[in-house]
Amino acid sequence: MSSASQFFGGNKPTKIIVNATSTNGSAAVVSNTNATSAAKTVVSGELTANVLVEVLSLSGQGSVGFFSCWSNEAVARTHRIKLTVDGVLAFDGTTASDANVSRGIILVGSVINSAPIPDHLYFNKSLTIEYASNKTETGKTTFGYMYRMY
Amino acid sequence: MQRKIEGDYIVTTYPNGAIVKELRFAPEPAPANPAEWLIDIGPFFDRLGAAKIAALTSADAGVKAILSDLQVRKWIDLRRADVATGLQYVGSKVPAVTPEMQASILETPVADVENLALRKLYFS
Repeated sequence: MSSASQFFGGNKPTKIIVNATSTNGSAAVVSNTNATSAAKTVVSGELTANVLVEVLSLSGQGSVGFFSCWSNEAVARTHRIKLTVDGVLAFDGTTASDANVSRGIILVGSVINSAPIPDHLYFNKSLTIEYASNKTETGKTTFGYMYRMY
Repeated sequence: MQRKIEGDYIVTTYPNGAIVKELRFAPEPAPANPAEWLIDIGPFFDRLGAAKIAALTSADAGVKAILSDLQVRKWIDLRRADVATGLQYVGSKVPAVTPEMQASILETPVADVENLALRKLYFS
Protein backbone atom coordinates (compact mmCIF):
# COMPACT_ATOMS: atom_id res chain seq x y z
CA MET A 1 0.00 0.00 0.00
CA SER A 2 1.34 3.36 -0.92
CA SER A 3 2.04 6.03 1.61
CA ALA A 4 1.73 9.73 0.94
CA SER A 5 5.10 10.23 2.53
CA GLN A 6 6.87 8.56 -0.39
CA PHE A 7 5.62 11.34 -2.67
CA PHE A 8 6.65 14.33 -0.58
CA GLY A 9 9.97 12.92 0.42
CA GLY A 10 9.15 11.82 3.92
CA ASN A 11 11.30 8.74 3.45
CA LYS A 12 14.18 10.90 2.34
CA PRO A 13 15.01 13.29 5.13
CA THR A 14 16.66 16.53 4.18
CA LYS A 15 20.42 16.29 4.26
CA ILE A 16 21.49 19.65 2.93
CA ILE A 17 19.92 23.09 3.05
CA VAL A 18 21.32 25.90 0.97
CA ASN A 19 20.06 29.43 1.60
CA ALA A 20 21.22 32.98 2.27
CA THR A 21 23.02 31.96 5.42
CA SER A 22 24.29 28.52 4.51
CA THR A 23 27.70 30.01 3.78
CA ASN A 24 29.14 31.10 7.09
CA GLY A 25 29.62 34.82 7.42
CA SER A 26 27.15 35.75 4.74
CA ALA A 27 25.11 38.84 5.30
CA ALA A 28 22.22 38.45 7.69
CA VAL A 29 18.91 38.32 5.91
CA VAL A 30 15.98 40.51 6.81
CA SER A 31 13.69 38.34 8.83
CA ASN A 32 11.06 41.02 9.23
CA THR A 33 8.92 38.66 11.19
CA ASN A 34 7.83 40.97 13.97
CA ALA A 35 4.22 40.41 13.05
CA THR A 36 4.29 36.75 12.09
CA SER A 37 0.60 36.07 12.21
CA ALA A 38 0.73 32.33 11.87
CA ALA A 39 4.03 31.41 13.45
CA LYS A 40 4.48 30.49 17.07
CA THR A 41 7.06 32.74 18.68
CA VAL A 42 9.32 32.15 21.65
CA VAL A 43 12.37 34.00 22.88
CA SER A 44 15.76 32.65 23.84
CA GLY A 45 16.57 31.86 27.44
CA GLU A 46 19.97 32.35 28.99
CA LEU A 47 22.66 32.07 26.36
CA THR A 48 26.41 31.79 26.75
CA ALA A 49 28.37 33.29 23.87
CA ASN A 50 28.90 30.81 21.03
CA VAL A 51 27.38 27.90 22.95
CA LEU A 52 24.55 26.10 21.15
CA VAL A 53 21.27 25.50 22.97
CA GLU A 54 18.28 23.52 21.77
CA VAL A 55 15.39 25.63 20.53
CA LEU A 56 13.16 22.93 19.12
CA SER A 57 13.41 19.18 19.40
CA LEU A 58 10.81 17.00 17.68
CA SER A 59 10.70 13.23 18.07
CA GLY A 60 8.46 11.21 15.77
CA GLN A 61 7.44 11.85 12.16
CA GLY A 62 6.51 15.32 11.01
CA SER A 63 7.49 18.42 9.13
CA VAL A 64 8.60 21.95 9.88
CA GLY A 65 6.82 24.53 7.75
CA PHE A 66 8.65 27.61 8.88
CA PHE A 67 11.55 28.47 11.12
CA SER A 68 13.41 31.72 11.59
CA CYS A 69 15.25 33.69 14.22
CA TRP A 70 15.80 37.41 14.58
CA SER A 71 17.25 40.01 16.95
CA ASN A 72 15.02 41.86 19.39
CA GLU A 73 17.40 44.76 19.92
CA ALA A 74 19.79 46.84 17.89
CA VAL A 75 23.02 45.34 19.25
CA ALA A 76 25.60 43.71 17.01
CA ARG A 77 25.52 39.92 17.21
CA THR A 78 25.88 36.89 14.99
CA HIS A 79 23.20 34.23 14.69
CA ARG A 80 24.05 30.57 14.29
CA ILE A 81 21.55 27.81 13.61
CA LYS A 82 22.35 24.12 13.52
CA LEU A 83 19.74 21.75 12.13
CA THR A 84 19.84 17.99 12.50
CA VAL A 85 17.28 15.90 10.60
CA ASP A 86 16.95 12.22 11.49
CA GLY A 87 20.38 12.31 13.03
CA VAL A 88 22.02 13.91 10.00
CA LEU A 89 23.47 17.41 10.14
CA ALA A 90 21.58 19.33 7.44
CA PHE A 91 22.51 22.92 8.17
CA ASP A 92 25.03 24.80 10.26
CA GLY A 93 25.23 28.45 9.31
CA THR A 94 26.30 31.65 11.02
CA THR A 95 25.44 35.14 9.89
CA ALA A 96 27.82 38.03 9.73
CA SER A 97 27.57 40.34 12.73
CA ASP A 98 24.55 42.57 12.38
CA ALA A 99 23.25 45.35 14.63
CA ASN A 100 19.75 45.68 13.24
CA VAL A 101 16.51 44.61 14.85
CA SER A 102 14.51 41.95 12.99
CA ARG A 103 17.45 40.45 11.17
CA GLY A 104 18.64 36.91 11.49
CA ILE A 105 18.12 33.67 9.63
CA ILE A 106 15.17 32.21 7.78
CA LEU A 107 15.90 28.50 7.87
CA VAL A 108 12.66 27.06 6.50
CA GLY A 109 10.07 28.91 4.41
CA SER A 110 10.17 32.58 3.56
CA VAL A 111 8.59 35.87 4.64
CA ILE A 112 6.49 38.26 2.61
CA ASN A 113 5.11 41.39 4.25
CA SER A 114 5.82 40.01 7.71
CA ALA A 115 3.80 36.86 7.00
CA PRO A 116 5.52 33.47 6.99
CA ILE A 117 5.25 31.50 3.78
CA PRO A 118 5.70 27.85 4.71
CA ASP A 119 7.79 25.28 2.99
CA HIS A 120 7.86 21.74 4.34
CA LEU A 121 10.94 20.12 5.72
CA TYR A 122 10.07 16.52 6.50
CA PHE A 123 11.61 14.15 8.99
CA ASN A 124 10.91 10.54 9.85
CA LYS A 125 12.33 10.16 13.34
CA SER A 126 13.62 13.40 14.76
CA LEU A 127 14.49 16.99 14.08
CA THR A 128 16.56 19.24 16.29
CA ILE A 129 17.28 22.94 15.90
CA GLU A 130 20.00 24.54 17.98
CA TYR A 131 20.93 28.21 18.24
CA ALA A 132 23.84 30.31 19.42
CA SER A 133 24.71 33.99 19.24
CA ASN A 134 28.16 35.38 19.91
CA LYS A 135 26.96 37.18 23.04
CA THR A 136 26.19 36.04 26.57
CA GLU A 137 22.65 37.33 27.00
CA THR A 138 19.04 36.48 27.85
CA GLY A 139 15.94 36.91 25.73
CA LYS A 140 17.48 38.92 22.87
CA THR A 141 16.55 36.56 20.05
CA THR A 142 13.06 35.56 18.96
CA PHE A 143 12.26 32.35 17.13
CA GLY A 144 9.22 31.95 14.91
CA TYR A 145 8.13 28.52 13.74
CA MET A 146 5.39 26.21 12.58
CA TYR A 147 5.55 22.43 12.58
CA ARG A 148 3.34 19.37 12.18
CA MET A 149 3.61 15.95 13.75
CA TYR A 150 2.12 12.95 11.93
CA MET B 1 -1.40 14.96 25.65
CA GLN B 2 1.03 15.49 28.51
CA ARG B 3 2.96 18.67 29.14
CA LYS B 4 5.69 19.26 31.66
CA ILE B 5 8.24 21.96 32.28
CA GLU B 6 11.89 20.97 32.25
CA GLY B 7 14.07 23.98 32.98
CA ASP B 8 13.84 26.38 30.04
CA TYR B 9 11.61 23.99 28.09
CA ILE B 10 8.08 22.68 27.81
CA VAL B 11 8.02 19.04 26.84
CA THR B 12 4.80 17.82 25.25
CA THR B 13 4.05 14.16 24.69
CA TYR B 14 1.25 13.48 22.20
CA PRO B 15 -0.99 10.39 22.06
CA ASN B 16 0.69 9.23 18.83
CA GLY B 17 4.00 9.06 20.67
CA ALA B 18 5.43 12.27 19.28
CA ILE B 19 7.52 14.23 21.77
CA VAL B 20 8.13 17.95 21.33
CA LYS B 21 10.59 19.97 23.35
CA GLU B 22 10.48 23.73 22.90
CA LEU B 23 11.55 26.89 24.70
CA ARG B 24 8.88 28.21 27.06
CA PHE B 25 9.61 31.95 27.01
CA ALA B 26 6.92 34.00 25.30
CA PRO B 27 7.97 37.25 23.63
CA GLU B 28 6.93 40.46 25.32
CA PRO B 29 4.26 42.43 23.48
CA ALA B 30 5.65 45.25 21.42
CA PRO B 31 5.61 48.45 23.47
CA ALA B 32 3.17 51.14 22.39
CA ASN B 33 4.79 53.89 20.38
CA PRO B 34 4.39 57.09 22.42
CA ALA B 35 5.25 59.19 19.37
CA GLU B 36 2.78 57.48 17.05
CA TRP B 37 0.73 60.63 16.38
CA LEU B 38 3.38 63.23 17.15
CA ILE B 39 4.83 65.07 14.17
CA ASP B 40 7.74 67.45 13.82
CA ILE B 41 6.88 71.06 13.01
CA GLY B 42 8.36 71.16 9.51
CA PRO B 43 6.70 67.96 8.30
CA PHE B 44 3.39 69.18 9.71
CA PHE B 45 3.59 72.30 7.53
CA ASP B 46 4.73 70.16 4.62
CA ARG B 47 1.41 68.33 4.89
CA LEU B 48 -0.26 71.56 3.79
CA GLY B 49 1.35 70.99 0.41
CA ALA B 50 0.61 73.70 -2.11
CA ALA B 51 -1.52 75.52 0.49
CA LYS B 52 1.45 76.01 2.82
CA ILE B 53 2.55 79.41 1.56
CA ALA B 54 -1.03 80.67 1.38
CA ALA B 55 -1.52 79.74 5.02
CA LEU B 56 1.80 81.18 6.17
CA THR B 57 1.17 84.48 4.38
CA SER B 58 -2.41 84.85 5.53
CA ALA B 59 -3.19 88.32 6.83
CA ASP B 60 -5.84 87.00 9.20
CA ALA B 61 -4.85 87.58 12.82
CA GLY B 62 -6.39 84.30 13.96
CA VAL B 63 -4.49 82.27 11.38
CA LYS B 64 -1.28 84.06 12.32
CA ALA B 65 -1.83 83.31 15.98
CA ILE B 66 -2.55 79.62 15.39
CA LEU B 67 0.45 79.11 13.13
CA SER B 68 2.71 81.02 15.52
CA ASP B 69 1.46 78.89 18.39
CA LEU B 70 2.23 75.73 16.45
CA GLN B 71 5.75 76.88 15.66
CA VAL B 72 6.79 77.40 19.28
CA ARG B 73 5.94 73.79 20.16
CA LYS B 74 8.46 70.93 20.30
CA TRP B 75 6.06 68.84 18.23
CA ILE B 76 2.42 68.73 17.15
CA ASP B 77 0.12 66.07 18.54
CA LEU B 78 -2.32 65.23 15.74
CA ARG B 79 -4.74 63.73 18.25
CA ARG B 80 -5.26 66.97 20.20
CA ALA B 81 -8.66 68.57 19.71
CA ASP B 82 -7.24 72.09 19.62
CA VAL B 83 -5.03 71.13 16.68
CA ALA B 84 -8.12 70.00 14.76
CA THR B 85 -10.11 73.13 15.62
CA GLY B 86 -7.12 75.34 14.81
CA LEU B 87 -6.80 73.66 11.43
CA GLN B 88 -10.52 74.14 10.83
CA TYR B 89 -10.14 77.83 11.53
CA VAL B 90 -7.20 78.07 9.13
CA GLY B 91 -9.35 76.34 6.53
CA SER B 92 -12.13 78.88 7.05
CA LYS B 93 -9.75 81.72 6.17
CA VAL B 94 -7.49 79.98 3.65
CA PRO B 95 -9.72 78.12 1.17
CA ALA B 96 -6.82 76.06 -0.15
CA VAL B 97 -6.79 74.25 3.20
CA THR B 98 -9.83 72.19 2.33
CA PRO B 99 -11.74 69.90 4.71
CA GLU B 100 -10.31 66.94 2.81
CA MET B 101 -6.80 68.26 3.32
CA GLN B 102 -7.49 68.84 7.01
CA ALA B 103 -8.69 65.26 7.40
CA SER B 104 -5.68 63.96 5.53
CA ILE B 105 -3.30 66.00 7.70
CA LEU B 106 -4.87 64.72 10.91
CA GLU B 107 -5.56 61.11 9.96
CA THR B 108 -2.54 60.07 7.93
CA PRO B 109 -0.25 58.03 10.19
CA VAL B 110 3.01 59.79 10.95
CA ALA B 111 5.87 58.31 8.95
CA ASP B 112 9.24 57.75 10.59
CA VAL B 113 10.79 60.59 8.65
CA GLU B 114 8.09 62.97 9.87
CA ASN B 115 9.03 62.73 13.53
CA LEU B 116 12.68 61.82 13.31
CA ALA B 117 13.77 64.93 15.22
CA LEU B 118 11.42 64.60 18.16
CA ARG B 119 12.11 60.88 18.56
CA LYS B 120 15.84 61.50 18.51
CA LEU B 121 15.71 64.44 20.90
CA TYR B 122 12.99 63.40 23.33
CA PHE B 123 12.09 59.73 22.98
CA SER B 124 15.37 57.91 22.44
